[in-house]
Amino acid sequence: MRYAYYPGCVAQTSGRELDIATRRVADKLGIELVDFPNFSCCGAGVIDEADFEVNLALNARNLALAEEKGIDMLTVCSTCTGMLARANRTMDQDKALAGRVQEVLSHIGVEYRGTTKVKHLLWILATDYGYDKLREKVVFPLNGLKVASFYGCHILRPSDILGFENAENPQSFEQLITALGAEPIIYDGRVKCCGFPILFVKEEAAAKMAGNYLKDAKAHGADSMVTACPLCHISLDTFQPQAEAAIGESLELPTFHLAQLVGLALGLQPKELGLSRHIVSPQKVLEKLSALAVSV
Amino acid sequence: MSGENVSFTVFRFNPEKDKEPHYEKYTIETRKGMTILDGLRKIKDEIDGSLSLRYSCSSAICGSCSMKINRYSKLACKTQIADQMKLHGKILVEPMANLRAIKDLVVDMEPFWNHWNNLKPWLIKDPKKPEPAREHTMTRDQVTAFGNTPSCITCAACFSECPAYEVDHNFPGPAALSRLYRFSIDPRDGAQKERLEMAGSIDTWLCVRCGLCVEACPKDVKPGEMITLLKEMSVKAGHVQNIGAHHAESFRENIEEFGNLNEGKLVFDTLGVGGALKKSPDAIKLLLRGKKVDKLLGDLTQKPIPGIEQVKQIYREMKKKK
Repeated sequence: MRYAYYPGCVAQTSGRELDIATRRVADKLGIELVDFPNFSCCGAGVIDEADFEVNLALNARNLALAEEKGIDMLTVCSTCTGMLARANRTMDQDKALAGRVQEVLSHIGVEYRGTTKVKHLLWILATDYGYDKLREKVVFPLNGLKVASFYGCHILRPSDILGFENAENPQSFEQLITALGAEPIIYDGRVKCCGFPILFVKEEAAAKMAGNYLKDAKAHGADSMVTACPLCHISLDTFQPQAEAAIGESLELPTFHLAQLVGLALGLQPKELGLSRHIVSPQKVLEKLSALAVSV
Repeated sequence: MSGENVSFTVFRFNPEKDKEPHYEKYTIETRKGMTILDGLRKIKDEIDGSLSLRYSCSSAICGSCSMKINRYSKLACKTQIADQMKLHGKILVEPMANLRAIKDLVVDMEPFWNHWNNLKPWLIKDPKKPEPAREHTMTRDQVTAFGNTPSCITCAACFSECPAYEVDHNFPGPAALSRLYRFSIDPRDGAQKERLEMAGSIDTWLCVRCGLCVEACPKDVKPGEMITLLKEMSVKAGHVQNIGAHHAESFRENIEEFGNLNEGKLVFDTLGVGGALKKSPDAIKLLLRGKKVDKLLGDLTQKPIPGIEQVKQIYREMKKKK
């Protein structure tokens, strides 16, 4: 299994632990990640608010770079997944706009043909790799952990573009949590918005959004969260103190990146997975895992 | 599905009698093709006539029967019982969210209409433009640009789903903003300047782009995507003074310079020196967790990606094309 690895900006900067964990997990599972240092940012849904066409051209270029090597793209960020998948769709459906983008790409010596599929690590584990095979690799089943998933909007919606699973009642994350030996917690917030996109616009509104869903997860019995999106991780973990202030309640709910949760079950040490970099320490939750008698 | 018994769990609340809302379970015999609305009417006709709900056309045209079905806002008349049973294994019916329940499934639509009306969702004639002798004509492209926005039936399903409105009632909501977009691009309209000023307000930028409204819309208006187009229009019209627009502009420039995001520079550019300093207590906390140390160093030493010249050329040429 070989993929064009698209880490996205956050996993290369403040969320570096996601990149660290992804590489360790891929290595353990025998998934080859091909680096493309020349990939650019996906625009995060922000550039298109200022310039839709530039954003499209940037992503068409990213997709074309992977296409040149004939491999599909592996993403670890819901937002990147959504933006790249949307670019594929727009290039396919809006012929006039696609033509303008193609022309610009031809001037930089890049050819977009539209054959690169965009696959989040979650989807790759669910299908290309398969949960049965993953289950065989689990050496530390996360028994006793009650994990609430947080999908991240752009891995689900718009469903006619993403289309991996039903956006109302997705199951891939819950099945993954089960495969790792933990118990998935079902709550409404798992498919909702973490508030990250308006952190700059109105921090208290964003923090309240994150706070509401963290609280919801906790009320349903979760002792930790896991997310497929490092932007959600910023909202749920980095800004959890603000979320607590916004809803006037203590939360203390540690949030794992997807790759970190998988890594723990594969027997990797918390330190190897960058867990010490989180704002809300997962120490207490990790202590619940008797098999993992290691400190963070 | 035909002839099968299905249980509906329905939100009930009569403020004249009940202190708190409660849920009632009703079991009905269903038939093939039966909708949630059919089911609720059967409950009302045969089991409990006191159940209150709004409905009229039963054909997804009037927009009056929006409610939460298994936690998602939908038209009851357009939602099949069998599909919901297949997807969720149950039928849970509740009033829309973000709007106060008056009785049972009936909500107070006033906040929705207030926001809708505030954005002047009607054609405003340009007094300087003479009336055409016959009808106004539009090119095919001009009509295509509307997307499905003219099809909005103001059912408020999008409003009910909206997490931005939930946390901040200043947000006008997906329906009102897609209506604003629809009139902002109407070639017959004479108030574009005023409309884009409205779009340039900070409240527009509370949209989180979650896509919940896009999924909820029974008419495929894609409200969230229309809001993005509206934001882009307002930015291009020069309304970049509010922090949301300023952030989008800073982000765009940031990627042109580095190819990948330089987070530190983005914070600085978006918030300015004062704003960045105000964030410093948070930064110290991050510093203690090791997050900010390599982040700060990373930002200071971050070099553009190897393909930056290609990125810059994309920016240059796409700009020229317009």
